[in-house]
Amino acid sequence: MDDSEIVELYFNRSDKAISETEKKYGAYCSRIAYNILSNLQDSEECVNDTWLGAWNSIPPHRPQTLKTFLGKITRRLSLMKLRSQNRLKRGSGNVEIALEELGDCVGSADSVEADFEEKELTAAINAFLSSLGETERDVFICRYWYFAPIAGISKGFGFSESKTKSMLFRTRNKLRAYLQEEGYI
Amino acid sequence: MTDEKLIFAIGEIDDSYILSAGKRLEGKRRNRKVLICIAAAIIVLLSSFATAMAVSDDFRESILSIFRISETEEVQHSGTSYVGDVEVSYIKADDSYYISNGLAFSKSGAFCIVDDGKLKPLDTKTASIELQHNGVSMSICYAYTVYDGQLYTVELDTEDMNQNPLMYYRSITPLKGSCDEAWLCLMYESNGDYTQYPLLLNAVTGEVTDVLKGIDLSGIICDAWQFSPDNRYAVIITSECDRLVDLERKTVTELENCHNSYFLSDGSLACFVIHGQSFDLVRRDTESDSETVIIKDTTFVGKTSYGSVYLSIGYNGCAGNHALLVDEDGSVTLLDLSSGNRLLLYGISVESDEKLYTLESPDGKSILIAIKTRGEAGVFRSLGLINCDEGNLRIFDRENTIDSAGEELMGFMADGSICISANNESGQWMYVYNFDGNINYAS
Repeated sequence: MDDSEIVELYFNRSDKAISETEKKYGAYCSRIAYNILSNLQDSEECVNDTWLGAWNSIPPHRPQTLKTFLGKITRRLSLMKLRSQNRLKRGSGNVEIALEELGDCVGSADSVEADFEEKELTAAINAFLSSLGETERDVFICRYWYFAPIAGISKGFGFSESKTKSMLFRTRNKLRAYLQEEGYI
Repeated sequence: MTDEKLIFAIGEIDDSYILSAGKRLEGKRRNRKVLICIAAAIIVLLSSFATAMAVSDDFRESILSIFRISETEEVQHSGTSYVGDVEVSYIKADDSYYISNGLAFSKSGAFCIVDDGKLKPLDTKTASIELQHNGVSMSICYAYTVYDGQLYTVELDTEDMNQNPLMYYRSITPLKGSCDEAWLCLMYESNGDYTQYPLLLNAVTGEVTDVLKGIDLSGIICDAWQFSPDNRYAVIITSECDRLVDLERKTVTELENCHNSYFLSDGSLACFVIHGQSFDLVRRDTESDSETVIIKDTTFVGKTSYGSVYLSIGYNGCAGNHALLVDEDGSVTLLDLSSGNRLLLYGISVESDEKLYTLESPDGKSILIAIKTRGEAGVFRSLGLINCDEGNLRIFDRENTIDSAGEELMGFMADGSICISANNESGQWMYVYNFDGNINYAS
């Protein structure tokens, strides 16, 4: 079933909406959740909450791209679950390591922090991403949006792991410079 | 701002970016967006070459997969970027430099490598030796380093170079794969002309050996020398016809009708047999003396590229093992001079006012192709690398809109990357291209 038909099911409050969504995007959302939570039960819970979130927001919202709409909900819910378990900065999972890596971009914990709206920051990140080459951007997003492990990214792109790490390192440096220039840090 | 805030903000980025990255993660190649693989099912020889080249049935025609990277490089002033998966570093040279066989040598007297986007000096030694040749005493001074088991040398000026009435000239060329030996080639006046004579130099100890001792070279004006890969033979280029020297048997043999001969990596000789304005390129087996015509009746580079032959440049600036043949319609074929095999670079074409450059990597496994507009301030509009093992060519277009006095192809660096040099009023730049992904990890 294509996305517009699935969205219509939500608008018509059809009980098939969620089953069709799960059929098409269950694996996708499960992978996002598992990359973050590393726990099957927690991942399943987040994915189920994603369907609930979709049901509650469609309508009135009509997502332009259903896949990423659902993916974003899953990602956010999974991160919030991790935070609620106080695991966001502990442990050696993908998110914890990714956060440590991104720590380079935001400077020291003691620095004065301005309270930026998340939307504003997202717009700035979009602008930054648009300045990157496609491959560099894709690698960055695979790591910090999908929280894919380095090995998985290397395999997907056909790179060596050292190349992937090096590329991410350089992109983080560029992001840091960009955020400094724009006054975010 | 905290890292957590950043992570959540990243979560809401543009949908198209998320989708694009997701496809790559799944190992799906975007439909002809970044890499276009043209399944080169074409094994056709260009008709004009089919007649002009006197095709032998023994030659194998091969196909090459071409990956045209859709991104165009936009040259920057500094930093590092990616064109597809090719990493490019833009380095301003603080000191004037030139490239000597894969290492940069700065005017301040140090060999350098490119490391993490900067020129990093290597441990460079200088040496000076006193030499007597043909009754003339002279001082030879050079800088050297050993990097990754390979000797690199640069001749340094000495006072007597300008004062010596016989105007001796020297060049020092390391032997490929050697950590200490080099050919020290002297040039001096003989019978009203200049002749060259090579000596074997141990750059580390300063010891000089005359390997040609006992070989009768009287009456021969040697314009240039080249040694076979195993250093068993040498070819002498003269204005008349070339000579083959057997260093073991101490003999000199005339190579009838052969000019500008050079050794291929398999030890055979490539020779030009000239007929007026055109030539045949012939491969000659040094042991059996048998000959095979590789290219028949063609011309050197003329006013336009069409119908021309470009010989690849190999180690130490000598001619390499390949040639690029440009047909009358601008299409390009890569020719392996040892085997005679041809690869049609389907989809690659050259304009009549453009020039082709081709270089071979020191290990012989890669061939660089660069297409440049003619003229002093020309820039390379395309850069590509053939991986001989995998049988593919990755190529991308370039734009250099920075005010530049022109670009020069400096060649392969010691780590396998490729260097282009550019100059403008602000100084000298190196653009370093890494095609193979084996770049330094910095964490």
